[in-house]
Amino acid sequence: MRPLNGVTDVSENPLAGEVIEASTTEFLAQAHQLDAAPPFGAFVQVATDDGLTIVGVVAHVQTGGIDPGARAIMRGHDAVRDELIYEENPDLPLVLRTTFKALVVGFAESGSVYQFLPPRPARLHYSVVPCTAAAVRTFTDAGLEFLGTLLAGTEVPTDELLAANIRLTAHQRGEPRQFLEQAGRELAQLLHGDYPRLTAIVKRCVQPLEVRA
Amino acid sequence: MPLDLLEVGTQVRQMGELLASRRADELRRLSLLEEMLRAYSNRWEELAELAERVRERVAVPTGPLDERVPPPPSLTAYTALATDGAEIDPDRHGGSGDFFLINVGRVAIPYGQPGRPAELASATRLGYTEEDLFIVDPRDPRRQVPMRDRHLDALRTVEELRALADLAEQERGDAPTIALVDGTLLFSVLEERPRDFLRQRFYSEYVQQLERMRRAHVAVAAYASRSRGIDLVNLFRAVCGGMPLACDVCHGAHACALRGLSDAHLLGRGLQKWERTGLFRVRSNVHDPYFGPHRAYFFLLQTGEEVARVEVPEWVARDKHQLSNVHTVLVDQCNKGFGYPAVLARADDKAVISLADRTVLDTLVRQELARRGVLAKPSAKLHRKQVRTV
Repeated sequence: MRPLNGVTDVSENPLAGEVIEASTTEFLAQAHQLDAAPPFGAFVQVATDDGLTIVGVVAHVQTGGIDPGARAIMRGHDAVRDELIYEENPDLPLVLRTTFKALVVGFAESGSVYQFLPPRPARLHYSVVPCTAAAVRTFTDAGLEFLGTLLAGTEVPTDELLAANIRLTAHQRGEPRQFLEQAGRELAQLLHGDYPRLTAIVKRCVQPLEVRA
Repeated sequence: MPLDLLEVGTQVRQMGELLASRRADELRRLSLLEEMLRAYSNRWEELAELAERVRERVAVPTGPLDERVPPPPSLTAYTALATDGAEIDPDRHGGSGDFFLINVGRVAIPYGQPGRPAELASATRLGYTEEDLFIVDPRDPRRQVPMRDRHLDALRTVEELRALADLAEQERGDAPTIALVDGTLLFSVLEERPRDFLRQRFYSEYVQQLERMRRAHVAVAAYASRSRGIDLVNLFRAVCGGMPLACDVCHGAHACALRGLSDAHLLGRGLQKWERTGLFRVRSNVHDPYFGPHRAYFFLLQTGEEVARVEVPEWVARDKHQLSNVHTVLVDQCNKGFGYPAVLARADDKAVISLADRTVLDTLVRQELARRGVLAKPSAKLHRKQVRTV
């Protein structure tokens, strides 16, 4: 299948990261590898021991020093730039980390999917994995109420998040046009009082970015 | 606020005035000493001969004093090893029983060797048994010294070098390997003590680790940032006899022109960035009997911002190839670490025991004691500090 808007498939890597902070509404995970967080807007999940699988949407990705007191500084010099800087300082991957925050949008338990907040948060140090295309389909087949949860998110670029999630989901479900229409209807209901905002989000969902020289 | 800032402010101003005038005085004295340095520059053999007869710890020149060695070509691949340590002393006031903790940061970074991962780790050891907490004189078991303060410092220094020797023995790469310690190879913790069982124990264990590194063919060097070393100053004091009145340099001044100056003052000024001085051997009555083939040599290295002192054992000093590697690796390391060797900075990061770490350790110990029905009661003094009353 041709990627939509240049988006690549996220279901190839089985482990995305490990939960390092968790609350009812969101969890923070450290990416398994530096700079290898799942894409902004992607569905991720954390399973617990008691059969509960919490589903989240990646809402913010950040890379910085592991030690909170240590800030990254410019290391490039002469011809040493970009990847060469990492080659010249092989210790960097051990002192830097990538973290990502996911907004909790629902959970699955005993074969059923729920698009409201789970009874318990994710457990610390448990694995975060990207949702497979099949899991995305199952979750979104249950309804699109989760778009309302994303819209209510605070301290995240909500409109961008919604558009990114819709683009990715449309691609992963394999029926982009049909899903975009469904999501458009859901958004129209959620934002019926704010037409300019609605159109701004919808445009981000369907228009591939074109750069004209 | 317990600090009387108004009063301290006045004192800081007075101190600033004094430091500024001292700096001007140092420059004046250095210009006086320049002539003496020039005169002795090529008479280094005479100086070396004299150095062997002096009682104090002095630097023995191994070549002309004004020798300058430019940085050798850089290595495309090398492995840098470093360790650094921190400790928690037994807490007399905490009431959680006597124990100490030593945390050693161990770092191995392979440069220019794609596919080999770096290692950043720390090894933590708790000392709590009788054998840990007391150093016993093997010849007279009644003589026991508690492992705390300076003695714990000495133990930590040995543990740092032991971890470095472990890393050196584990290193499997083909590239040259350089092992760095922070500070000095001249175990300075118990320098003032008589030759007793304490010195015997720490010094011989320390030298054993140097021997392990020699056998592993890993060049070891100690790096002291902004060195205050005065081994060469001591030698010149011996030259002039320390009598300003009879001295050609001081011209009857009330005090010796060398006072307060360091080797870096004497030798560092003419050094271009990344140049090093010639090698000097440290002759020390305290260290030489223990160090044998590991006797310490040093050179000064201009890093641009400051003059650092680098010490190497004799087997590195005599091996031109290894010595050149130490020089070029330090240049690269200081470049990467913005003036201080990057690998040592990483080792320090892994060694530091934060306040939060201390609190966690304290809680763990208290919980364990409570579980076993032992009450960890702080001393009256600590209790008074924790609970302030008015």
